[in-house]
Amino acid sequence: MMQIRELYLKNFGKFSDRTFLIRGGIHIFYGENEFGKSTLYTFIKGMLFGIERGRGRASRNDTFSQYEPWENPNYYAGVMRFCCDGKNFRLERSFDKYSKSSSLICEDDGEELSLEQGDLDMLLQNMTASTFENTIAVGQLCVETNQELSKELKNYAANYYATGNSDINLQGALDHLQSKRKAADAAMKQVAQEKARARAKVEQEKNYVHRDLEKLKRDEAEIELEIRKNASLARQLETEIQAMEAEERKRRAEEERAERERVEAECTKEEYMEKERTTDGCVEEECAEEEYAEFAKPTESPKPAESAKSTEPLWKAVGRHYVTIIIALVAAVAALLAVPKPWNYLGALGAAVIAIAVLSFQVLSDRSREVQEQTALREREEQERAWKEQERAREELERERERLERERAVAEAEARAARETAEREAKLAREAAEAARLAAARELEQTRQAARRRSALQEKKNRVDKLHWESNRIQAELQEKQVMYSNLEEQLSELDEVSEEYMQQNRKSQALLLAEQELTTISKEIVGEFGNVLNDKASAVIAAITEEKYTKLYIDEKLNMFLLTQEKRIPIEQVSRGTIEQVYFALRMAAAEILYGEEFPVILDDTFVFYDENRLKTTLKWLSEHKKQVIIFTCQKREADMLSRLGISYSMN
Amino acid sequence: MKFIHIADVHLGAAPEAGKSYSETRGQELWDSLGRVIDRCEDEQTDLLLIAGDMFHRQPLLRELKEANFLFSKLSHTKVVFIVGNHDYLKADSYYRTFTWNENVYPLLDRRLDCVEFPELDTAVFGFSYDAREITEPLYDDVTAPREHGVEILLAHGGDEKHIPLNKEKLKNSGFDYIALGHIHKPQILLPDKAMFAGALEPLDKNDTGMHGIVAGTFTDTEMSLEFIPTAMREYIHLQVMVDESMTSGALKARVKAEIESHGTGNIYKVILRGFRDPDILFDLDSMDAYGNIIEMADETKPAYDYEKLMEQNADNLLGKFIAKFMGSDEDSVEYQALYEGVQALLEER
Repeated sequence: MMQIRELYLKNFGKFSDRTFLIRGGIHIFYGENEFGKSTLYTFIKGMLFGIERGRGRASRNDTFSQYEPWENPNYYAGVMRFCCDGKNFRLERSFDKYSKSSSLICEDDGEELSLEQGDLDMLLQNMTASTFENTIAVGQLCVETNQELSKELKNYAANYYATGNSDINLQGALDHLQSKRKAADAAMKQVAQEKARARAKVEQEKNYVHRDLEKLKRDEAEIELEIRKNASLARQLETEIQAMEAEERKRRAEEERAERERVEAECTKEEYMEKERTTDGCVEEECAEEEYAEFAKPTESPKPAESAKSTEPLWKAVGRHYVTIIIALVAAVAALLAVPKPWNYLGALGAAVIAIAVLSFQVLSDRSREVQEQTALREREEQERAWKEQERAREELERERERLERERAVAEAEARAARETAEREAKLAREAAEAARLAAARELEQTRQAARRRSALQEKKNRVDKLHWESNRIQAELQEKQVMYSNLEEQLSELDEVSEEYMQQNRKSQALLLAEQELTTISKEIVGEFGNVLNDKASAVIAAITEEKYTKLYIDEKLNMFLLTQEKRIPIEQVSRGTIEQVYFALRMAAAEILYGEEFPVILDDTFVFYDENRLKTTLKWLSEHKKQVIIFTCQKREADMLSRLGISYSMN
Repeated sequence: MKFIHIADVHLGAAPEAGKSYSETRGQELWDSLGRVIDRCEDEQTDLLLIAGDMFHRQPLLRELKEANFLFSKLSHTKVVFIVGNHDYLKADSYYRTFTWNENVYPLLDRRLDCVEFPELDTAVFGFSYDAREITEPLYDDVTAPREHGVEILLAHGGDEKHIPLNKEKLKNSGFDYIALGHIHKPQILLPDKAMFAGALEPLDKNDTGMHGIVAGTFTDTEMSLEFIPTAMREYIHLQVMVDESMTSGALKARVKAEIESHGTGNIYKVILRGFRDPDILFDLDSMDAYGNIIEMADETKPAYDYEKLMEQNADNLLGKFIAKFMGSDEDSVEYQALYEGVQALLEER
């Protein structure tokens, strides 16, 4: 059990060299505003727990700065004397940064104790400044409205229930962890995104290379086809050319042979021609020709001799003109018949006369003709004799001629033969020439064709060569691209590996989640353990200080608070401020009891401002009954008055 | 006979090097190789041995051409190299078809091959990787034939997935020197016998320490080896101790000063240790004054006296919460949760 005995403010806030003695029971520090209650309150707290400069963000308005002595700020110190478990102690501290020090001496035996080694902590049962604030030191709920009030109370209670220490803001901590976790997750995502970007870049390159590869493969296939096509064409041309060449060779061989034969033949013909020229067959022929020419004039060969005629009998001669006779007869008859009788005999006579005239004429002419004929015949016979003689001569000549003719014919034949041969030769020569010309032309044509074919072949060969070169080039490129492609794939698989930064952020995220979960779990446990006990104890206090108006304080697992009356359950939001303050007070007292038993003085800093008279009465009464030392800081006389009226003794400074 | 032994150049890689240097770091790898070439030329070194991983991935044709160009600048030095697990010989690798300059002798076979230099009375043995991982200890049965004055083994491996090495067997293999690659930190495996040249330039933030080349000389009687640091930059793990009085700004100045004293051209991983004011939040993002910090790890602990807090709050949420997590491993999630929860509760009072 601990009780504060004396406060000596060497230099603290507005106080300098001030002593305050405190007795047991209820002690009231009364003073107007600006008296320095808060200063004293802070002094007590500072003595017990020291005043740390806040670090970082908190240092500007921290307690240290706030209570730095107005005068002589470098000298910031004080002494507190207290008794604990029957022993008296003297605690001294210097707060300023230049001579920061502390000492704890047991006054009974002069033993010097060590704060560094935790002797004070031990005496204080390891109470910290924050638990001090949350339990034995009771201020006010610094809020304006009822709603906020209840909310604050709930928060407070919730924290208490959930954490066993209203100082801890569970929800705040959970929010903090969650936001950090989100940040870690975001960092992980960013790393992953960067990795994905790098991968995408390599993938894209890979795709480009792949595309190039595909195109090259297509090109290669095309070229293969071209090569094959051209190669087969080339082969075709080659065979053609070979065939042509073979033919050429054959023809040439034949021609040569023919040539050779011709040459041979020519030799013989020439010889023959030579021979011909030496014989005079030609000259003789000419003479014979002349001769013959003369005689060859065709004398008019007499007509083939008519057989000589002898004199004909008369009746034959007349008879020959039977036609005339007939006609005369007819005419006479006709005349006889036709002409009337006297004259018919004249007519007939006339006709007969005419007929006889004509007949005679005809016979005479026949006879004259006969005579003529005979003379002519004789002439002719003579002529014939002459002619026959001539004929004989002619025949002789004829025979001669024939002989010459024969010779000439022979010569002619020979000449003809020669000529023919010559002609034939000429013809042959012409033919040969023609043939040669044709052959030459054909050869030329063939050469040209061959040349064309060869050039075509060459062209095809060139093309094939070029295609081969192209194909090689493409294959080289293909290989290069394939190597590049597989290298890129390797690179890609290396990128798949998880980076260290990612793992770090991942671990951080996991740690944060773990912390969150653990906090939630533990707080549930606390609600379980601590909450019930707190419920009970706080209920006892409430029942007492509300004079059984409210019998129980109840907090459920969702940290909703209810006050139970004898009839019903009222949610905390619905009660008055005064009640809320009482609940707040009850909670504090209950917590203090749970944590520290009845060991410590209760310090009330302007706690009862919003209490009405009745509440004040009941609370003060409870305090006097339950607490060994109560230090009240107030700027009112109410408390003192009430205590007086209750008959409770107190001390005041 | 003078030789220079390098390994793990990893051309084509783009190592992380902080905002200031990341873009050019890839080119710096090439420049470093270029400087090695220049040194070989200046000193008329006889042999340049590259123990694998010259390229970080399958080399492109143009990359091989660039490397070949560098080698072609050498008038006297012969270059011998093997292929490691990073640039291993895939079926369609350009290594298989590329024609190197006449002074370059790649040992690209999967089985042990050798190239002899009668004018130096030296032979170099080695084989190349044809797969990403080789778990058999292929170097255990390799022995030197002892037909030349100097016999060097060019090897790449040293961990369980990449040809584990047996020190004893290597020691008794009979080679005068074993030029090793794969481990990026230069180190001696067997004194005066086997060394990892280490990566020519450090590539990863944990490749701390010096990096460079191994220069060796064989005379008739002895061999001498020397590690020469040639790397442009180092990765440095910088530990900065923090105390409760340090604010974010103070820390920033401190980090900057430390970086200046260790070299602003280097690349840093900064680790903060110590106890910090629980109210202060270090703004890690703004501390990269020179753009050369690639990682900043905050391992400081808030200056909460958990025990005291727990005692004082034994009966309430705070105390119980602390009790729940007290004794957690300092690296655990629980410990971090403890800090976060306590901070949340105390801050939101």
